[in-house]
Amino acid sequence: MKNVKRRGYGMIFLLLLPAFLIILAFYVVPAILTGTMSLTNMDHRLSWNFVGLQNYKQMLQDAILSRVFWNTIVYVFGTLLCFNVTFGLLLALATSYVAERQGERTSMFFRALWLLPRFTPPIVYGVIWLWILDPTRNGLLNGILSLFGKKPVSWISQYPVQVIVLTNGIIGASFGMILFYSAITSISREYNWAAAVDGAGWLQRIRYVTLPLIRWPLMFVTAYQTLSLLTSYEYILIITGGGPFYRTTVWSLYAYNEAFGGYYASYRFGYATALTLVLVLISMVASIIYWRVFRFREMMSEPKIEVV
Amino acid sequence: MAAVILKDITKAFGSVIAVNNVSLEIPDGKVTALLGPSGCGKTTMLLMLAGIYQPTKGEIYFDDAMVNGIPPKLRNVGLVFQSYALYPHMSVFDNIAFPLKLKKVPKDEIRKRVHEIARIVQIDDLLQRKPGQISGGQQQRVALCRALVKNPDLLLLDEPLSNLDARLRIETRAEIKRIQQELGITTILVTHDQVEAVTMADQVAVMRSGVIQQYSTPEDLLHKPANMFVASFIGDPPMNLVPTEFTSQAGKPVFRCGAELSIPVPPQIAAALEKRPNREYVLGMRPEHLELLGEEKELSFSGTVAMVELLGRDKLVDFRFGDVSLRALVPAELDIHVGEKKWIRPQPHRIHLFGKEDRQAVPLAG
Amino acid sequence: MAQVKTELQQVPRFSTERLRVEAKREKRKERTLTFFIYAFLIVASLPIILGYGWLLLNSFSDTLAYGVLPKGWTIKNFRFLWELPSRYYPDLWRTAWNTLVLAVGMTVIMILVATPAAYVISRMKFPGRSMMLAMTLILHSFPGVTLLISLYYVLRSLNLLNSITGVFLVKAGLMLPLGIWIMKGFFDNVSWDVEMSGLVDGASRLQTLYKIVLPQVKPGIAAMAIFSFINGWSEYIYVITFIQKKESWTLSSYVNSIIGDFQFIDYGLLSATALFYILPVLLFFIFTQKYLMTVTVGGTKG
Repeated sequence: MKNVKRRGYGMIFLLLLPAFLIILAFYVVPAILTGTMSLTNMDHRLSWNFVGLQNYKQMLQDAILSRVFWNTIVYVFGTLLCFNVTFGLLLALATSYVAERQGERTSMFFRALWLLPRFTPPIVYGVIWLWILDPTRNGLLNGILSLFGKKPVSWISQYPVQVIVLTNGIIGASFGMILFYSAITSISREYNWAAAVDGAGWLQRIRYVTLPLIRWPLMFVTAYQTLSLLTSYEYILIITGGGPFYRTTVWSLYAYNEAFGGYYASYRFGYATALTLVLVLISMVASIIYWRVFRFREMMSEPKIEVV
Repeated sequence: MAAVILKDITKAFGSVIAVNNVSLEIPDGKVTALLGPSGCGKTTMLLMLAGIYQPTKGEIYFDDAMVNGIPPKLRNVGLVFQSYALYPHMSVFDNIAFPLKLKKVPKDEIRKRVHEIARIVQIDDLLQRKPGQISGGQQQRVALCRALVKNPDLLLLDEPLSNLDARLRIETRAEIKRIQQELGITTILVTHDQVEAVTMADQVAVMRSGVIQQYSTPEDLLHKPANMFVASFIGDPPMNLVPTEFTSQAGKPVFRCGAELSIPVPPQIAAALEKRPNREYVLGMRPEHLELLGEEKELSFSGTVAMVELLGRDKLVDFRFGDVSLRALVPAELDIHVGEKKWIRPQPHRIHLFGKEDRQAVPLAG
Repeated sequence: MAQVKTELQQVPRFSTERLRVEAKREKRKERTLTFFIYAFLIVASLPIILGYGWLLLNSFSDTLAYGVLPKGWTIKNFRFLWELPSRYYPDLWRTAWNTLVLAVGMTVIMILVATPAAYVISRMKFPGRSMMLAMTLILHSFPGVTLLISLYYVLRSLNLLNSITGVFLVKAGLMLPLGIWIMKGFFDNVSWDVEMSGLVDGASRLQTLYKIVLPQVKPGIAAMAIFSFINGWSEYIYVITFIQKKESWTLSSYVNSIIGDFQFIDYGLLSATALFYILPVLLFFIFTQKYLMTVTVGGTKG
């Protein structure tokens, strides 16, 4: 008997080992290192000079950082509210309308279309937008302007914040769209029928029946995407690089540039990790809040979300 | 209130025909039931009346107006779903008020009408609760209020009693009838439960696989079934149905039902059957129409009691004749035991015959 | 009660004309709504349609009039397939191969590592199980950017900098908690009865895993494989941060360089290289899109 048990544990150990090792080496250890690095002023020489909380003090005095802070707030909440949530919802509503009246295929076409950016390699997405926003007449927008005889506009330099909100938003909207669409279409059709018999047109039905019933997905998307946006910077890096002059540098991008380049090959690892730890802190707090609010709700709402 | 006419209604979903060429005239101000097993198309009919589905073929008339293609919003129809479909996020008051709110009725008018209808249906103390906080029976009343508050011309009920327990069913049955009579509203209810249909409706249409089998009063369904399906579907306990051969034995006309059972045929029935070329039928006799006698009388036959079931007010007595089983319904007080020999006499006017192939009722003068 | 009836009953009974008029009005309202909804969908989708359309059309055309309309069908933009854009560029096919290795490497690790781990966590009893679940969630709150810097350090120490192996190990490492979590979900849905009857029939635990449980989670494995492959193929940040050596470049770095060198000079080259890069993903997407839309969207992209 004992042999069997030991063999059983042996197998468990074996099956878990690879995962364990990889996660340890490439997730856990780096996580710990990030903490310790933030207490150093390590640079490209990778030397461990412990300097205590100096990096954090430096953060409080960094003039650019306060600019970056506001950029981040504007970026996260702007993109979130305009695009991820609102646009995602509008897209979900529109495609559900189309699915109801015209049929699945048209609706699927639009939803697939909006999913496409999400599955595109970031650099290619960047290429497309760089063409659209090209400051010469060869770009899409300026090309259209030249049709009307107008002069080309340097979109990225003149409207950088709008650009990053738009480009990230289009990707973000697809997340909301998928979630909201699934929530909307999972509402039992008897509610829709009841509303029709009660005399509701489509708009009224959406307002009084559908939207109240998808309150939780709405909140979930808002919460989850806030965190996602806080830590996303890939597309900004590709399209605006953080400029001009830090106007579109958000917190995570600032940290990246401090470590790996941007305009000055800085390799200020110590400072950069300190910056990222602030993000980790916010992330953790937010994760705990979601976990408690949403998981708890999920367990509670089993009998209740749709009455029958 | 309105009378409803359905003319040659067919509804197909792709290649599946849910409703097959149905024509019905539904009288104004009365209760009509659509009765049939699950999947026979009755709910589809209801949804077509409400305007949620459009018929593939045929027309629907409310009074003289053809309503094909008219959306539910304009039909002034009240529909109570089997699952009630109460909006879970709204209070009972708001649920009921919803149709009025959509019509932009002023607030105090809404309050007046909601309270009025709640009083009639007797749920005025529940108005501030949410659907999740009230019982199934109460939810149904709320759904009823919501359907009635806009003063519809037609009330549609989908399986109104199926979700209720036995005790509540009896109460609710009476309630619905009371409300319907008070308001005089044309009501169509759909159900698979023949007791529900027979007790609540003035007229019943029996449906099977999208086709109407018979449309008449409950009494006629019980005593003059048009075919074997109706005969077996209606009536509890179900009718005894036995394949039989009309032949003679010892010079007298009998129904021969298998090797061990011969039932004497009453003269008027024998006379009607002589003229027909067929000899093979299915014999139908309701358990309540089989009299049990202590001794042989005219037109009776003997059998040994195989089983006795107590059903509360009655007893169901089971007789076996080889493969054939006959059941008789007798009052509970009757003293009867397994193994006893009894004489069984079917009431002559309550014997039914159905064609062996076509299953249709054979007209018997009597 | 009769009073109630007549009071509420102010609406005259049905008349065909009134119904027709009202129905027409409703139909008109519905047509307007449909129009606006389609208008919204089309206008909003325009950037996407035009953008990807450009990728396709521009790669095959000489120039663009007004920045939009292609002129002159050609394939000269694709000359990068057989000649280097400039002498500082690595061989394209080598680069493509690296990209493939990255994608496949990541997929293989995810499948081979996450699946058994998820099986164990989902269906086996052992001490420390719930702690592992909690750990997974805590780890998930460390976003990519925070680990980038220390990962650089780790890779440097392991001498895996500038290598594809390093990158896919890192990516796998970061994706594993999520992958395990998702696969665990699939394993959770396999009924215990089926597995138990396998054990009763005489199979060992391992055999039941192989013959009974695994086949049932095939859709989960397929989904994870698809996402891992696309994710690996598309990777940008880790590649440009950790790989400086040109021989180890992936197509991400390649296109990145093309942007820097040719952006205003040769748009055809730009779009053609980008199209080349996106092609596998695009094909994949077209063939599996119905399936993809039903599976939950993972990842933390904006």
